[in-house]
Amino acid sequence: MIFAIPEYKNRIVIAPFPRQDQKRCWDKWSKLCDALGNILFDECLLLIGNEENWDEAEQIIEQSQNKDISNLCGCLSTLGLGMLLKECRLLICVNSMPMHLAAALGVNRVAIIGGTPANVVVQEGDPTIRYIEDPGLALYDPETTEYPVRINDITVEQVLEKIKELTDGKVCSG
Amino acid sequence: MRKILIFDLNYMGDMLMSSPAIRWIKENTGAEVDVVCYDFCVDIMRGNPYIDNIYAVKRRFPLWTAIEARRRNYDVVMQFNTSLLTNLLIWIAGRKIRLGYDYRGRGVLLNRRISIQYRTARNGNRVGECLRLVQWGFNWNE
Repeated sequence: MIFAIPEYKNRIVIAPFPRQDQKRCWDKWSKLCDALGNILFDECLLLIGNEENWDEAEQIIEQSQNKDISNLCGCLSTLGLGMLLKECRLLICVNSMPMHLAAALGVNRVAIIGGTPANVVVQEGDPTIRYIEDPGLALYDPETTEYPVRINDITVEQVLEKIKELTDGKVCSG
Repeated sequence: MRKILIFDLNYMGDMLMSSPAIRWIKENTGAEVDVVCYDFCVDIMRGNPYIDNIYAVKRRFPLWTAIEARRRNYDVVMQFNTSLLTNLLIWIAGRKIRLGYDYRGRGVLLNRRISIQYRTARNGNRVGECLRLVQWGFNWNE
């Protein structure tokens, strides 16, 4: 597989694919890519995931009006992913391995959190993260891990707001 | 010199969240720290300066790894989760100290255990959870 990561642009990495957990699946990635395409000037979007996420990533790109998106699913080793994250401007993700790797590297990230309460996976006081938690997690039962899943209630505007907050408006200045 | 074996049979995100605890063990005990993890998680741990050896396994119940570990005579064998199967591996592998959580009686095979109300990574911050276990376990030993 041959791919190229644009060298001349700032990179925003998007990691939309959780591992084996439907509670972490958000359904508005194409719309987010559209919204980012409308307000970003010199950034490209890079979709990351495993090889089995390739088709799903292609669907996100197909459904989006924004054509400055590259599909890197299955193209990166863990080391390569770490190097990419270290060089990127921002990571937008669900709570999965890239989020934790970005935390270890001190990379700015906006996370859409489902499946597990944010306090389990996010360090309190971490200045490099902003997150939106599934509203249903307010009723999370740690014994059964059950709760009314409402992750798709999270809107694109909420995500953009968190991006503005985290980047002091330098990304998504609108 | 002490030797410690950690059964860290988790996905990559959980392994990253337990890595501060592994660093704490290395910095505070000076022991040789070995980790058993799934083969797809090796890349996450490779190059970690606080881990001396990584044993990659494919199965959820790597029995032969546990038997081999028993021959190596580790001072401490432990895990960061409440898995009963992994506690059984620890019981097979650990001749001396077997450290972990006691959740609903699952700690019966361990000889150093800390009570926990919920399964790990369900209620409290995961990083803090792992750190509390090792700080309690190793300070007790001191």
